[in-house]
Amino acid sequence: MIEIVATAGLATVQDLGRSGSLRYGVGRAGAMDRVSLAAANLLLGNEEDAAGIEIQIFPFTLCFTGPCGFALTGADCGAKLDGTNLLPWSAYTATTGQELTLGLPSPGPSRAYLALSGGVDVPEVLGSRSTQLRGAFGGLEGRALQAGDRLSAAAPGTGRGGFGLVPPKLGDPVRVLPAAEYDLLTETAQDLVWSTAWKITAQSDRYGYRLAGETLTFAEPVEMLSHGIVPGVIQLPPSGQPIVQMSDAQPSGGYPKIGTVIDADLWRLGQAPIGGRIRFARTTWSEAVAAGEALRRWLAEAGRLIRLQRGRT
Amino acid sequence: MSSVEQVRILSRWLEGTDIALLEWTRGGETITLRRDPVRPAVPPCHAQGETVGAPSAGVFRAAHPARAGALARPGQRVREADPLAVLQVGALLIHVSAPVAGTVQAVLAEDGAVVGYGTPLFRLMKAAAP
Repeated sequence: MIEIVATAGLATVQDLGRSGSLRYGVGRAGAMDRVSLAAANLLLGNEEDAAGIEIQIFPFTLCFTGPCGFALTGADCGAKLDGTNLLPWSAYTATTGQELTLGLPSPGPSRAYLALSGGVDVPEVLGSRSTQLRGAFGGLEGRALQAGDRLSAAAPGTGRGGFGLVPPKLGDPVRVLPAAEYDLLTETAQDLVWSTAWKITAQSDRYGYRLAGETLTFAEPVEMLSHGIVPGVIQLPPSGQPIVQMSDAQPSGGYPKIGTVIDADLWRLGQAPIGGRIRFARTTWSEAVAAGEALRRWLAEAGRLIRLQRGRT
Repeated sequence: MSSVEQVRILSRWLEGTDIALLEWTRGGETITLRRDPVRPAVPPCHAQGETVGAPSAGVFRAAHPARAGALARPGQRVREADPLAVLQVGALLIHVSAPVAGTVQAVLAEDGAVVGYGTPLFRLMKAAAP
């Protein structure tokens, strides 16, 4: 259905992630911005967790080898379909031979998501179609997409175009729950966690974000055995500069944990560009749960309006 | 119910609304009722331009919320299917696209105005055939 014409690298097939396999040492993987991927799927009438393509380095060009509905969300890359300007966060239909190009993202979110009608049809591995780069499985042959790769849509003819969604606000700061070793930080360091504008360094990718800012110190040296970690966990290595674990996080690590980015805000961190700055805001369990529910409600309402619109056209 | 009767009933429903275009489909029959829009004050030379009507009811947004500035300004050249504006219904944005390639002559709706199905939004001067 599509053929990759040109990619600058690191574009992968992702769904909402491979849950339930941490016990086998298999990380979650999945989209860095799961809200954008879910919304792209909703725009096409797909299940929210259908597989799409995450694009994080531009330009990116593909050709439709057959008619197919598609939706773009996430970063606004000034996309064009055979030269016609497309709007971000929108659904369209393409005919055979049309070329879709994504240029450099305008300021704002940094990753773009492309969904295809019915979802990108790659085999499910351990209950997910996400590319697991470390294990080299899932997605398309367990690797990033290359020019010449061909991918199929599961239900190409079901797309309707001509509408989109108001993109949710990225905003700042990112809400964080203090984690197990937070209390072992010096009082000064505890304050610095919340007051620092942390820079996302160039050593940041789908595995994790290495942050730079004030140096955080523990009252006494902390040594730990390896233990389970999940995306969102903020670790503090001996350098005193935090690391946030992201989608491709390993299932275990040994650094002390000072916080966890709440699930409802992880997508916003997943869109933060390298070189940008982020702030952490302390939150509570009940606020974190409420934020997750608010996000669910937004997706449910978007899905309802899209179903009505798709029924009209 | 005869078609004449249907038209009479639909017309009565439309009275007092600002709906400019109504399409009624039932059992393979379609009735289209179009209200003559109030002609905006434009010079006569614009009369050959093509009017772009609202594809849906909604709030007229000249700019996309993710982008700065209006999508289409008077004097701007557009390709066929290029986006001109969006109509907002809650979280949903319905595209208003150029039906033909040409030049935007006038924006006929106020940014933020609630528009009905068929409300004239743009006047386009069709590009001469190449």
